[in-house]
Amino acid sequence: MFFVLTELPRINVQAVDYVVIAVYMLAILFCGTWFGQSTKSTKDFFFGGQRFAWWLIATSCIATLVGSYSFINYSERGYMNGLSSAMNYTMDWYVMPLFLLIWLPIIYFTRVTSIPEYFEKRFDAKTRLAALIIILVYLIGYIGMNLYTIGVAARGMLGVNIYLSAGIVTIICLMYMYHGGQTSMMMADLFQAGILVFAGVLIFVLGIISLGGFGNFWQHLPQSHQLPFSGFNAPKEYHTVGIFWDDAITGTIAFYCMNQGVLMRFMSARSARDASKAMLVVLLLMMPLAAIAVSGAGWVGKAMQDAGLLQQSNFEARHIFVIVTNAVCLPGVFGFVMAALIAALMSTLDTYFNAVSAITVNDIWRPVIKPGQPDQYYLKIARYAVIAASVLGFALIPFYARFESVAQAFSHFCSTVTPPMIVVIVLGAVWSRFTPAAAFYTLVLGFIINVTSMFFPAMVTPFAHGEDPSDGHSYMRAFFGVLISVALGVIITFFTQPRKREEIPGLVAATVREGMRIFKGSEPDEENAGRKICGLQLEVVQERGVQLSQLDMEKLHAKPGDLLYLSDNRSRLGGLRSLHIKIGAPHDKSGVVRISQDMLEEGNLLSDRPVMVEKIL
Amino acid sequence: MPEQWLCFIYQYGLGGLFFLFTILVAIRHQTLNFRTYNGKIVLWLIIFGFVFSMSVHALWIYLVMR
Repeated sequence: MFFVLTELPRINVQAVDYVVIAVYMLAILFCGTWFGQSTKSTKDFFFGGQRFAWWLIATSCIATLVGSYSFINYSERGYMNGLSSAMNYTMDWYVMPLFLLIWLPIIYFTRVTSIPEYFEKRFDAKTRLAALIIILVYLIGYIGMNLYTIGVAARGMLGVNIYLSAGIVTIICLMYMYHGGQTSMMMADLFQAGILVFAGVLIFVLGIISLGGFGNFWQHLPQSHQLPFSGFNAPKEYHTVGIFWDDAITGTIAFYCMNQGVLMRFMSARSARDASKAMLVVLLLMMPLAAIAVSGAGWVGKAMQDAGLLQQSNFEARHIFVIVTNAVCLPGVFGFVMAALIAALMSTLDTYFNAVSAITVNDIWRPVIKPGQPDQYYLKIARYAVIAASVLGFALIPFYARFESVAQAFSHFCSTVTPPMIVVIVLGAVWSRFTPAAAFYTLVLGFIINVTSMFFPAMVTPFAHGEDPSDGHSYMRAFFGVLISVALGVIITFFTQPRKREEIPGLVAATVREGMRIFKGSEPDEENAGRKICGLQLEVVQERGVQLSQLDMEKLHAKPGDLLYLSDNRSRLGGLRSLHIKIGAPHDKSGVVRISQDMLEEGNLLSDRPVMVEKIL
Repeated sequence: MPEQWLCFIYQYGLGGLFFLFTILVAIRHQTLNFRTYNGKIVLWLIIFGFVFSMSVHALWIYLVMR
């Protein structure tokens, strides 16, 4: 859920705060461009060479999830509704089997480069086109929304012009994205995720300290604010049944399965196993931390107000994050928190820049506009697309600025667009019988019916679980859209012709294992996947490829043709110096990995550093 | 029934049905090899996370409302 920042209270900003913000900006620029130097191909640019460790994926995922609006929005919800504001970050478990056990193996082993590409392979070209249009509009709208939010926040807190602050942040983000793509993004996000989570938790802890401890904090919260869930269908701004359908089901499936940026994060994992591990760490550890980070200011703000610790008494709830930050932070710390807000924006923006770039190259330029060009040409187009995405997003700022409540309009837009898409994704992934015609008409008719319901909210009312209809059912439209889309998809399927099973290998749950066989080129060996040997020495040879000794092959239970992962022994690098290999015939020099010069360069490996080898499949 | 318990049952009931359905689809089609150590770990962590989340919410409501 979004809302608009209009008149944030002006606060006293010290010179040291500006210094902290400037240092942060320079640091992130350095970090992104430095780590992006190794980008040589579109595969590197979009997927970082598919080599990152689970902890890099996990932190990057959190950095994307927490946008610049999150701190302001969820602090307001925390202040108004109490601890139930954590619902949005703690209700993703329902969707996890779909993502981890079905969707992730499908996209990882079929190596689709974009969601529209999946739609073409699974269904047909016209369904791909419908999905492409919806996703591009969604992504660019999202970029514009984030730019506008940070612009207005900076204007309120620092007195900087909206366009100037949004422009500066865009340019910095562009500078590192232009050079490094996914690699720059992952490394910059690692840095930014730490800052934004730390800053949010810091404000919560400082608030607790100012209240005299956790016991006092709890005592000053009304009982309604201590509960984990909001009301069943009220208040209309935030109720459980609405959050369940709009966020926990529709929003979560859209975020993990439809969002090109997130898909690319998980595709950049060195193995499907690492991608699963990253997701589990995100859910078990990072989401609860992020919930505290983004809502904590609202929770302590309510308690501080009850305890008479807030100097201002008349203020709008949307300003609570700034007011609490101002109340509990010393000069310099405030600058740090502002830097965290910028971090939240940049880490979300860079993901969407890269996503738009990937779709432009892989779904428009390469297959339609100019096919058959060298990879360097497409890499150049990918970089131009990043610039175009930022310009389009920036151009939307005046459009958003015209509306008093554009963020709610954007929320209406999301609940209108996403239900048909997520229904097609879910049915397409779990049901082999689901037909191309059903997919296409579910997308088109589902979208039309959902848009119509925006103008005639009475269509949604019978399904709204008693939600107050006065704001047009912005939450329960998601439920309505899911019901309509499922009905369309199922009914049309029974009257149309499905694709044969052999035409969709790896693209549906029933054929995932065929996808694995195609991915590897032979029968996958999952029994021994994950076996590894550390501390091997590299020996550069003329012969193309990579070979291990007979003894090391036996330790790994590997045979020629198996997929292995070769990386620098230093795990803290997270896979920056690594590559995937198909292992060749064994040699007889134990403890040595023989590698050709071109593959050494491809993996950015150092010939004098020990390496680790892991069996993937 | 107190409204909090209604919220709890609605979410974990409907969400749980979807959760269970997708697990059964995955097991039926062996999308992961659940006989291997890694496959078992992933499956059990997902189930553990769901049960853990449900238990924390139930305990939380009970403690606040008693």
